[in-house]
Amino acid sequence: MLNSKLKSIYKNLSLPENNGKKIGLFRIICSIFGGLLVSYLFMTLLTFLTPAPLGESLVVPIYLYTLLWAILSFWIALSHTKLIALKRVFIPSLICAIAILFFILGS
Amino acid sequence: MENPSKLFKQRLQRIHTSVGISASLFMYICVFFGIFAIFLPYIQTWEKPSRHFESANIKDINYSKMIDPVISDPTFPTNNIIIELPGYFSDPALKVNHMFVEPVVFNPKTMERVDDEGVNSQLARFLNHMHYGRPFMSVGYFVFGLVAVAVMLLIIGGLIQVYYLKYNNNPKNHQGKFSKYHRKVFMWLFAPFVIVTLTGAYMNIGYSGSTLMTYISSKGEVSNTWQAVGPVLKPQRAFVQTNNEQASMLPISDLIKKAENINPNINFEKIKLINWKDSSAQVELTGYNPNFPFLNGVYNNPLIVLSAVDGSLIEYKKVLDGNWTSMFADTLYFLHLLFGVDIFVRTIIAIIMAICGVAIGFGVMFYLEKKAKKFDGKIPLYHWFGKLSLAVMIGVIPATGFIFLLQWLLPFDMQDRMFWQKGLFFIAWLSTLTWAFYRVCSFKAAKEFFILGAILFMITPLVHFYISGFSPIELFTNNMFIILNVDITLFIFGLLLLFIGLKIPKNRENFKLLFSKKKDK
Repeated sequence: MLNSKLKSIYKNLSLPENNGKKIGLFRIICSIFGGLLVSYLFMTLLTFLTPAPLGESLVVPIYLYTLLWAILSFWIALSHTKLIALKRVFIPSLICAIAILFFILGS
Repeated sequence: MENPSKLFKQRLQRIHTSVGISASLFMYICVFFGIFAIFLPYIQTWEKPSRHFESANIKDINYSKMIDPVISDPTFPTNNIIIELPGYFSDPALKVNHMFVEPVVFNPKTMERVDDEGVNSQLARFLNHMHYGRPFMSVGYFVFGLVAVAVMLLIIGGLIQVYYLKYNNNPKNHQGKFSKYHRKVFMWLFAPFVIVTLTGAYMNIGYSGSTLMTYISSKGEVSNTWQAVGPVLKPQRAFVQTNNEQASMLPISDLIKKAENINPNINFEKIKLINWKDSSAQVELTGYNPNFPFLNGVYNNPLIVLSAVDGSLIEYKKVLDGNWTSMFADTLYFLHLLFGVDIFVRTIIAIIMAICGVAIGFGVMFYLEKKAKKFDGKIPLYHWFGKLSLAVMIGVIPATGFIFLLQWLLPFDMQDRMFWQKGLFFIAWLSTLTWAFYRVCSFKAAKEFFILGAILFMITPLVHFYISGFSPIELFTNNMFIILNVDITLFIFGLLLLFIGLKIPKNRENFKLLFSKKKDK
């Protein structure tokens, strides 16, 4: 029962829409909030990766995360199917989040 | 099922249209008031009767005669007094400032104290606030910040569109022309525009939104971004201990000359007096070095510290001695804040931004023309967004002309002057909205707005001459060029508006002809 429901949701998500003239709420939410999430997490990860003291490593990320947000939102909204949009949000943010956790817990 | 490339292209266009139409009016407001904000220093001088005096050379001023009475006042603090030199933000006055007291303002030529209008005259400040949504408090900051992010998305998306889609560069009709102008302008000018919007987004939401990032990256130690970034971007000098012995100070003009010998390229703007009248006294001179544009101005300013007792050099920080992060920040900020930059660069940036503003207008007109095409020849289209854009984009011109006029019409000792001025400005703007909705023909309404705006901008200088009591000749002979130039610019701007207003066709048919190629035949 649950399995078949999940399957139908999955199928629904992975079917491309009939035309691109309507963006849809799903994509809008994915692109605005997902874009923010990915860019924020990536830029936070960048502060750990930059080999500089905290103040210096923060400057570039805090100036540029809004630009990255805009780029990622656009990239997510352009995805072929809704499933791809979801993947574009969750895969990079999971990778970034795990890497950040690794940096925090590992030191 | 349609093929992926078609879907991709449809989405490219659809995203650009929907985001563009949502953000366009806000972005236009940002650009429009931003142009006035570029000229903020000059408007700030023009708007105040207390600044109507001849400007002086900073090296010839007898500073101690003005500053000594102020700091010998026992209620005035003696440490970290900041003197803003004449010419700082084009202000001809000399200001003695301290964190905890009201600034004292002097006319450096006559050495008399000047009654600063303070909160009663803040026209330039208000126009600058309109530029980034401050009158609407945190909602304004947030919305304008989101709009800046949306504009970055639009610019990137637009460039991708130009790359992927085929556009006709020789359009026959007016609609194609709008699309072409919108495209061509931003293809040429997107680079400065994206930097300006990036810093705009940073100042409105990026900085306040970075708290969590600071918290995570400091592993929970710091949550205030400035606490982490501040010491790197703008390092503070170490605290100077007082020796508790009286000493005589060198005149400040001599200290400025000494500093100028060290580096003649720096335009000095501010002097900080540390432990004044003590044998440990120091002066900290900061300024702007025009030989290093994009590298100094906001955080990374050249600094010279001299001993106020014997004038010996204590510290000298060149532009290139700064931390790389402060240079990075200044590079981004340079085009936006234009601190210390002269009138030529300001004018160039203002022209670039004005062209961008017009290009935003073409984008909106392109959208509206697409809507109007469906009803062409049947009924005149009455679209709410068209009327709203008319009021916001063109109605703002007479409203701004009105606030400039009010600056000199309202008496300066009026109670709550700024409140009335702002209130009347918003009422004027709202009445253009009602007028735009009332007039069925938008072209007629636009014509009226342009001509009304032109009249307001053109009589403002005349009212200014009359009420301030300075005729243009007096302004010229007394070297008050900044004020005179603002008057002239306002008048020329008015003339330009009048020209546009007279050129606008009366109806849609003539308007189409204006942009079509058939006109020549």
